[in-house]
Amino acid sequence: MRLADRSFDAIVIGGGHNGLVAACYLAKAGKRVVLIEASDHLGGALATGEISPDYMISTAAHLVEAMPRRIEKELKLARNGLRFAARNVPAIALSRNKRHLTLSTRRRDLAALGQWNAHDAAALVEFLARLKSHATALRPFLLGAPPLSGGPSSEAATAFRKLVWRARRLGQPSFEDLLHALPASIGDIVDETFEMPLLRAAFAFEALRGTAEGPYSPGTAFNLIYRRALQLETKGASLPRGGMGALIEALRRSAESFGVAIKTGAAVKRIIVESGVATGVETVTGDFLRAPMTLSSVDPRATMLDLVGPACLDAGLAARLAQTSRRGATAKLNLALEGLPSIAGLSPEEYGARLLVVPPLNEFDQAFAAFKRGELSDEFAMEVTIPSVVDAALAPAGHHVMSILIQHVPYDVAGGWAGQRDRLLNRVIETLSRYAPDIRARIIAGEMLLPSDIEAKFGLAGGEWHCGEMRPDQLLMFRPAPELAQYRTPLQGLYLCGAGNHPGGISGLAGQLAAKVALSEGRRA
Amino acid sequence: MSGESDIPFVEETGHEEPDETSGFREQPDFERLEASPTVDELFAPASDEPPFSRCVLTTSLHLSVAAESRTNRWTDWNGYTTPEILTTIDDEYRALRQAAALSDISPMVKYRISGRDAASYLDRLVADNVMRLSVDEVMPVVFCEDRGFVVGDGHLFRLGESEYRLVTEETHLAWLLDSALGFQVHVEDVGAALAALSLQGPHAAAVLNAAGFYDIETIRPYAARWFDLGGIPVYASRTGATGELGYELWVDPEDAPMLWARLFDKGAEFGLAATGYAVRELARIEAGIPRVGCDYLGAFAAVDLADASTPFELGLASLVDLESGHFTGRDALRRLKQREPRHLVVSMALDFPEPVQFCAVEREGAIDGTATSIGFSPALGLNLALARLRYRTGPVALSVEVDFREGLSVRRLKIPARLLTEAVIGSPMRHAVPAPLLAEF
Amino acid sequence: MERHDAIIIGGGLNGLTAAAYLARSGARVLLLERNAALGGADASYEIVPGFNISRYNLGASTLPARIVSELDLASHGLRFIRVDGGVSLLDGGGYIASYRDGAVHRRELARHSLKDADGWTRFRRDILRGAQQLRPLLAGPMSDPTRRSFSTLRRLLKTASRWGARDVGELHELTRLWTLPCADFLDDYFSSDAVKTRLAADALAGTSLGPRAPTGARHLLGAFIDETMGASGGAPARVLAIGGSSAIARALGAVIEAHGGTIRTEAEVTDVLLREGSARGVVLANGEEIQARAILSDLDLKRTFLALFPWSALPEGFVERVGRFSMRGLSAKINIALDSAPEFPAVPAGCPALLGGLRLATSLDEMDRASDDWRDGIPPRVPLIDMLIPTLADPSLAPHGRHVLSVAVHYVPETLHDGVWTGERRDELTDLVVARIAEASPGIRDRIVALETLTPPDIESEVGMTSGDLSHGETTLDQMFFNRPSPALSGYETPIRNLYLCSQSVHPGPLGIGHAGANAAALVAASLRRRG
Repeated sequence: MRLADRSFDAIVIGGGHNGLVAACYLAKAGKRVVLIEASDHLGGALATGEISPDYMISTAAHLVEAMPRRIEKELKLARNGLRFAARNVPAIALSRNKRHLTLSTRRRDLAALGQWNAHDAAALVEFLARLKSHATALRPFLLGAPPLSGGPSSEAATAFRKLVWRARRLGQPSFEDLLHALPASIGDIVDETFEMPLLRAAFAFEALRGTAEGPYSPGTAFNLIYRRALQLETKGASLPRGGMGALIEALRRSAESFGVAIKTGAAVKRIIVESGVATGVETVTGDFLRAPMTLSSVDPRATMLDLVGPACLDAGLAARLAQTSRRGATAKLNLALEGLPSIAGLSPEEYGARLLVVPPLNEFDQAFAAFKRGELSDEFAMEVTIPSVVDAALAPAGHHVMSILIQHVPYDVAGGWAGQRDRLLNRVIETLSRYAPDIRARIIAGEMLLPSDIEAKFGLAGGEWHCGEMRPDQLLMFRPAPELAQYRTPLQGLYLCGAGNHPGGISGLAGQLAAKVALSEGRRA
Repeated sequence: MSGESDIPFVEETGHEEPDETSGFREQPDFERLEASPTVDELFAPASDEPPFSRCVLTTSLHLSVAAESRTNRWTDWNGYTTPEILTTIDDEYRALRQAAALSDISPMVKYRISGRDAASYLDRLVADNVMRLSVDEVMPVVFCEDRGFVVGDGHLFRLGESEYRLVTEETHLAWLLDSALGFQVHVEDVGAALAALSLQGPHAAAVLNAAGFYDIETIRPYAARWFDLGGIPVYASRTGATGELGYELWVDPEDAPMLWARLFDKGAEFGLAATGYAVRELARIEAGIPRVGCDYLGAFAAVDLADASTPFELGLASLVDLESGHFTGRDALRRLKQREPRHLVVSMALDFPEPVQFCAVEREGAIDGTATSIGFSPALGLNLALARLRYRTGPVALSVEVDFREGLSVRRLKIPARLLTEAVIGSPMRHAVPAPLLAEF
Repeated sequence: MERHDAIIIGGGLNGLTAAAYLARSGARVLLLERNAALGGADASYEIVPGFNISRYNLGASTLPARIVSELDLASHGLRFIRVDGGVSLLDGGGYIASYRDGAVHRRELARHSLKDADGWTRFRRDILRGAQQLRPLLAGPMSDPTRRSFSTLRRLLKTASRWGARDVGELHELTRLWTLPCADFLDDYFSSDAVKTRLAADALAGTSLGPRAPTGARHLLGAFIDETMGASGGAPARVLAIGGSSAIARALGAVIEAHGGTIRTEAEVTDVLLREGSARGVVLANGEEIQARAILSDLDLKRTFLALFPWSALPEGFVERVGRFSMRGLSAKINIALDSAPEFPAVPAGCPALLGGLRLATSLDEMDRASDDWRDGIPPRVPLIDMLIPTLADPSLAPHGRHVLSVAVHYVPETLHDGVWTGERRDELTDLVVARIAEASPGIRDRIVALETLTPPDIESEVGMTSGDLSHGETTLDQMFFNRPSPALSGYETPIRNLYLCSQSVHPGPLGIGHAGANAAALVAASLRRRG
């Protein structure tokens, strides 16, 4: 039977992790759900691909950092095949003089750090404790739908009052630190906290990963708190066995077990709106699907402006959505390696860690300045994983795959990317060679995804990974726009459930919370 | 004067052969018209000219109008030098209500909106259903922002299948362009590229007919048509915010002085008089039409939200169609309609025999609102005002305090005022079919 | 030994304001100023005899309206004139000006973009709304939100409820204004680069932020804080004191003396006398000791605590905290005397906006690069240059027909990445700036009678503010409101009993010079009354 002839209670547009999570929760609640995905495979930027035959790697995103364990359990992802090759993957900042730093407070790591710099060892303990306590204070904002303001008994009034209580419970020094940190730049914070340049740069990078800001951009310290808060419900950064595609595969199986009909290769042309009510979708092939509720996990801007169309929206909202910024700043390099590159000073078990390659802060800042101007910098901050160390099946025996996220790569470079692509590649390999001199010799194959490639391949506008930058004016009840907070839209029956909605990140929370809102409204209607 | 409307519609004179002796059908005498004043180099304004490099910004009709001035009283209208009063306010008012009054309304803001999606774009822009507007028709429109507050109002002309003209009091280009996102539409400010004349009064049709606008009487209210005046194309619409029979003529600025001269030439026998901004304001107040920037602030200008208004608060509910299609602010207006308005813009009258000025309007002794436009109606011998009053139900006993000056001494009088529920001047001619008035003159 | 109710250390505008309020409340006050002239950074001098010019600041400082009227400064000879907001000269010979008259200003914007003339209306609305929210916060102390008291908790809960009750769209507008980069915020309203650059430079001149740095948009509020809704819809006025900025200091001095207060110049305080953790008086450079019941410091935070106290007298960790307060020089000053009026051929004769100052062409990209360079300790390659010719509005400042040209050069670092400011480096900067000015005003070199350049280190050594930071501490959002300089200190009290801060280092800082002095004085007056 053709999909168009079946009747559904809900349509989910987009088969990324949030779309799948939303579909699962809707189906779990007894709804007949159809999920349609434009490309031939599910998952969007969460995918496992081949660099060359037998070398598998997470094509774009390479770590699960924010998916709450509750979602894993409720969707029975383990039963549906999800295994983790590693959880709580530690972060290690690589040092040019072989004194690598593990960013953790495990006794052994602290002792090592303490030998080099006793002040920073103490500072690190305090810094991580403060970070956790700030994140805990913010947690309730992140795990539920964002509170709506307006009116004396609004959700926001209650939530803000609770925040006051929680901030007070932090104790005076911590509260004061939070007030100072919220508007501060990460550069200022790490400069006043740590003495060691490597530690400063490593935490600056942790705050800036995936953003289009620099270490001294005001407000960047908050990114670190926000990211930490999203991790509170998780077991830290995790590497799914089989790459990110395995997470999607588990979600797909889960969805199918709940009875979700999944249709790939079906791009939506438009969302059908009839007198202010979204009644279904039309695909590019001319099929019509109808359902009382439609949830879109694609970019909210694309959903509202391309699929719904400005004619059904107020002009102010449409103009504001069109203005939301999408500055992609991250490129991805995937390498197939003949043997494990040797990084001096790294113990064998540490090769499975999240390796941070960071220039000193002033060079980091200059890299950002170059990025703003659309130039290629000489130094890049990079996050490197070698997942085959913990997941041998990804590469032939004795061989490895390496996944590298490169920060501050502009979408456009002056003079165009032709020719510059190789320059970037060379710069990255050269930088890595400082730590692993044999890496160049070990490369068998590789693929480089510039922000523009990421846009083309995964449909992420501007090559920006979050479907809307995580800026204060695009967070919480303002994500993606105040009129679209809480996953609702001005159109009855249309909900937004993608990463462009609160709280964002690879968490699946937007999908789960949107499903919850849609279900509760469905009951009321 | 009342006899005109008795002439039945069937007595169309348009198809008859022109009466040779009256010269009614003669072509304009361009030999003579070309001698009439053209815009002097000195006053030729360039749109990109910086302030303080010249002193006067004028319309293409400036010298024609200036030639009629007996008082040298000028004012500023959207930056253009505009006559306040040309002769006396009473004479000009009489011409408007009893004969015909001609004024230069070129300073009005005009936008040309064209392109494949022009109709759907406008339908999303304005609160009314634009789809029912046919070619050569005009509708009054109001447009709101997302929260339902009025951005501005004006008249929308449909010039062709996908060509419209929006005429407003204030500029709105930023909002019009912001609203164009996702529509194939071209929005262009044609303010300087288009001159406009307003001919209002019971003899307006007769004047036009005499000037060569044959069959002008067949234009229904809020309709428009092209005329060819001896090679000058003129678009005439039956519009004008005076509560009177009236037309507005849209013409190339270069041709405007000739059209002006032609109308005067032919209109003299009907009592045609040139009028200024003061009479335009007076007629508007008599008709109870609020003006943006004066009686209410556009949503983008109102720093205090209380100064902005919804269409309901302005008494423009009839320009809002909440049912037939989406427009900006519709969702908000649906909610607002359920609620009480915060204030109302109302017409009120003061029974006092001389023109007075006042500001605060009191209700039972306490200030309750602001008079935003005040005028003394010569016809009624009344002070009229538009005022913004706090919305309240129940009995209304309004009063105003007026400082009444005699020489250098001042008396403060408290004068009762009353609300007007309908426009005080309602000429039957406004909606009737005018007949050519040749026979009477 | 003399004894006073209150000693005010430092004769800047905040110190003078504090002294004036205290004197007016009946306290016996003594104000001590290190230099010969009052006014601190707003002091002026004769660059050549008869040519008066503001030595450190541009010379357009003003006082909040409430202070002018409460202290009745008008009757002590202070007059302000309001002029149009100034002119930016553009590359290629054009210009863009700011006018107070709404119709004129819109016409000016329309010359650059018809759309932006309309954009201005909405921009002005949103900025004025933001300014309205901000204004009440300036005229009172911040109270430490971290204090563990019942009243603090109650206040915070009330604030939380109030914020939660606000419309989400309204909260979003505020969030945009307070967190967005200036350039992004302006993109929402304007399309012309000339318009955006003019507004961004108005906002960011004198700050460390570039137009693309987050939280820069809030600086757009600055010029609108004293604007009222009733204004005619144009750009905010520039307010100039007749007689220059130092006239404000003179009038405040007159108020102090009229109420029996004493002012001593060339009296440098070197130490604060402490007894049992409480400030009891001061020691002057000449060894003289003066006692007082309260001490107010108009010096910046670092200078107050790092120079006037033995560090051992301060609580543990306090010195480090003070050290962390970020103070960095941002501007150099060039003072020029001219023998005739400079000509600016790009601007039509008689343009009234010239009275409000001139800015030389730059672009958002250049500003951004200058800000990045500043962070790296590199002097600007294309500097952002603000000029004021105060003699256009107030000819009394120079001999008849002569003029002074006050030039502020922004994004000038205090420490250079490759060394220190030498005379040579200073001359390089001067030459660069004068060359830029000469492009806009041919023949100006021949008119120069005298010229003097002050770099941030010069400003520090002369007027005392750490690092030559004229705003007494960076104005990044993490150093504003209750974070200026820290929650515990934002209420003007310090860990030293009877020692109060009243400089720009405390709330509201440069958001309104004079407020800190007035607010601190109110606190001290109440405390003096309590103590009898």
